[in-house]
Amino acid sequence: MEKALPFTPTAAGNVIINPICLHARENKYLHAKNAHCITACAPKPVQLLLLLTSSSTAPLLFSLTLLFLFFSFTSTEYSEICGVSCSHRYAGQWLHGTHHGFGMFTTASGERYVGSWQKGQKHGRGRYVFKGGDFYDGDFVRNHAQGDGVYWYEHVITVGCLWCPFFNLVSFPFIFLDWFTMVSRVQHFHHHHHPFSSPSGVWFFDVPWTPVQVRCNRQRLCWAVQRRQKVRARRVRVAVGVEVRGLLPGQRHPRQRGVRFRERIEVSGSVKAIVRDRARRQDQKKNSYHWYELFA
Amino acid sequence: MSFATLTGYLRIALLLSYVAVTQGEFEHNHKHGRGIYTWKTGNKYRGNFEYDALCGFGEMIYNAMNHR
Repeated sequence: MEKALPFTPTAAGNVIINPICLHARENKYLHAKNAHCITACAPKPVQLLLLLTSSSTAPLLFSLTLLFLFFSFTSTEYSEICGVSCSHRYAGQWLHGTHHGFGMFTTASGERYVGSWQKGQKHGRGRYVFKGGDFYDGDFVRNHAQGDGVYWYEHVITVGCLWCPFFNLVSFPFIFLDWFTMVSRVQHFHHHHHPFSSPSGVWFFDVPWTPVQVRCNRQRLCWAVQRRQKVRARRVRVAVGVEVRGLLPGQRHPRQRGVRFRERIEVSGSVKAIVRDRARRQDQKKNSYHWYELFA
Repeated sequence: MSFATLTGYLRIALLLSYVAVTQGEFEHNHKHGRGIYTWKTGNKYRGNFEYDALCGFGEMIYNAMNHR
């Protein structure tokens, strides 16, 4: 009955997070086998309950527990899958007591920014990874995602259920579910650094949207797939960023059209190219080690 | 290496409603070099100092309550 802890304390005082839990935190929904990952944040009785339910092979019980958790702590941070101690952390370069240089900032909710900092602000090239797996890779100007960047949008594809007559009826409520998750994500920005609420508006609502995956079995029972499959990603290119390009006032970038500082969004990319890029990214992840392993 | 330099030194600053623990290298009564610094609010810093300022490579763990 040895349960793997979500983290291992070392002699130096720091903790090494279980990579399984890291993976679980990336996903929106938690699998029952990784139940020990969320015990770090929950109060003691909930921890015990979770451990009990996860040790026995009872996914039904676990889902009931999750439901209970959802209705009891909807507004607090217990509903989220938190890190080791539910705290923000920064690892990287400092200057005069501020984040300056290259560094990684991880919020308590698991979102993280890896990239360059200046005077305590996200400035320059960086990547902001959201909880759901989306990430923005590009330029930041004084804490705002501004400039040349690509928003990688991980979403779900719909699996065809040809023999299911109630397909549309079942998928209909989940459309709103997805919309609600998007809304909650927006609210999340206002917690801490909010790099995506630029003065000209929140732009990521323009991201094209697809319904939640629905699966049906041979008994014509349909359900929404909880764990998101990262199958396709669409590139959303945001082109502005006069400051980033270092143009003088009055000058205009050759590729820039229209009003200055206006954000122009264009969706591009074929499925083939997207799959190829994704494979390349995975390859890079496999071959390289994280730079912050130096700290461990 | 001056006379005031000590390694592995533990220092506890006690003021009114302010407790901070420093553990690390000092030089001329300044934090200088690698060390650990803990604020009373719960923030914890482990890494490099240069004359009392956080400078160089370091890792900070923020208290979540401060930011919510």
